[in-house]
Amino acid sequence: MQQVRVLLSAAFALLVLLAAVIPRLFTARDPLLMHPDVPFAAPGHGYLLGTDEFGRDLFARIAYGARPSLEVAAGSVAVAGAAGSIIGVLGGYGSPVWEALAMRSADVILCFPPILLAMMIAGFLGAGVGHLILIIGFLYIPQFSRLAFAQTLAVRRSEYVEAARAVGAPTARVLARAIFPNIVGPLVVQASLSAASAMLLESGLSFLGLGVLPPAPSWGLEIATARNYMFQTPYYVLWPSLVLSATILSINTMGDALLDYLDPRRRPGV
Amino acid sequence: MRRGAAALVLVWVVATLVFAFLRLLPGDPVLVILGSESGAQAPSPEQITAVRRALALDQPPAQQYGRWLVRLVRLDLGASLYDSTSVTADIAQRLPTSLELIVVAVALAVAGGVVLGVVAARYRGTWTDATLSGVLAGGLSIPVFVIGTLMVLVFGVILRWVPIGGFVPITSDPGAFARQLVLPATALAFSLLGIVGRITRGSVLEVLHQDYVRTARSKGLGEAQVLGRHVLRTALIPIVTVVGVQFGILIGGTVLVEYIFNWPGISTLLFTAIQRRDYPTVQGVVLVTSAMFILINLAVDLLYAVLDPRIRYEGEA
Repeated sequence: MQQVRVLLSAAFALLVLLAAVIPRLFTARDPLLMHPDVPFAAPGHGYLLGTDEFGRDLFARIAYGARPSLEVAAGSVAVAGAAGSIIGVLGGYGSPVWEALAMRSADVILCFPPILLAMMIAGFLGAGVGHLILIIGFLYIPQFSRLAFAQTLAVRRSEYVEAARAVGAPTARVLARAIFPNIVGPLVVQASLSAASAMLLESGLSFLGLGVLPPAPSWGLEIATARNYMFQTPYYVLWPSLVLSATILSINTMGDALLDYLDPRRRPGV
Repeated sequence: MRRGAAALVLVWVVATLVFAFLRLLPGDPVLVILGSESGAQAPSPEQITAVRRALALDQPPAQQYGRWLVRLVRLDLGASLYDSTSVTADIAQRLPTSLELIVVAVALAVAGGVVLGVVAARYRGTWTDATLSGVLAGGLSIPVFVIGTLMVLVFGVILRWVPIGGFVPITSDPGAFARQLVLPATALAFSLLGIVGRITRGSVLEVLHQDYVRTARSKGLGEAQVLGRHVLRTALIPIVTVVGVQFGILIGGTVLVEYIFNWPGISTLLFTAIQRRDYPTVQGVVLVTSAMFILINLAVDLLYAVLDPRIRYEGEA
């Protein structure tokens, strides 16, 4: 049961990843090309999922919409993961001053409800994929810095760290070779869960018009537009909603499976 | 005491950051506010002077900061750039409307999540568990605006059961108020329901095999009593934590839900203020919600001690 769910999720996530990298694999149609003679075409009839208000092919728009969502999710997790891991490891291994800096800065970022801060920054700085990556990356630093900090504390007194220091390895080497490899597992799990939540945040901001900019197809933006035409054609709003939810669900499912795998207490049947 | 002081310091740090935000943006903050950098027509010199004066940007920064803090202590958040109304008054007027929505959503989510979580844990490994866990995972993964939009589509557009947006004050017509509230509150509750349900399931599973639960069973207590009195009581602590921690996400959800259902709360205020580049209002809303967030976390910390006698903060033991 559990395995089936994880396999299905992995398969779906792979499809989405493929669509983000090479959308042409899925459709030969241009997602921006308008066909004014066939607005709001029903699914079928030459358009697999129908068309939007300008007669643009909805299937093509969904396929091409994968890229901005994944770019923002992957980019912001990369930013947050790199910055957060470094801050957390330094805080856990360095002097008390480092520890205070690392932990209090996380406390401060966590004071702001993420979407409010993101709305404020995007509203005044301007929207767009690049800004979203920086904003969400910054907001998610605490998720990684706190975890890296706790993990570093747990391993810093271990024998292999002591041994590395005893043979005179410089601090940078101790951190990179003795500590980091031993704390990277939980960070990877966190990355998958953060990616799902970054995608949620991105789609929400795009939905509000503060994220990915039109005419680029983005799922959140697509849902916002389709909302205006719900009376004419309910399918229009349905497709991006389903694909977006399914993508986030599959990333979460894989993250949970990883978590179960890494934590024996959570393994089913124990 | 110490925790209260720490919370106060955090509020001050947040206020400082919110104050500094505009001044840290690249370029002239006045031009950023007037939006000339995004390409519209250039603002007139009069407009620039007016905004500069309204934000007191013509004074030295230290003086600006000092005045901002003094006014803040008096709960004066300045005047809106758009219509010169008091930001404090605007927020005070909108906040209760948002809180009504949030309180009802939290109540729905906790009640539903605890029930689903307990049932899933009790029937662990069966189809009931699999189905309920699927629903809970869906709550976590389906974006709140998707739920909201689909609810509007199904109940408002197709079935026409409930109004699809708007607001009636509870004082003027409680029945209409409740009808308007159903969809937004349910949409908002759904994601929290997923989290609460999963946490409940997990912590009930952990407690279910403890000795004292076996004792309670062997005393001959009924299943409902065992679950309700012995299991749930212990499982409640992580649930309280999670509701507190998730408050930020709840606020985020409120932004989207209020937008979809046209609910005139604090988030709608924020959203229009961002569109109008009304900086004092944006600043005020972000500050007030962040301060609320900090206070709620403080309340959750204190609530632990009440729920779990093992936790006592310094000075009380």
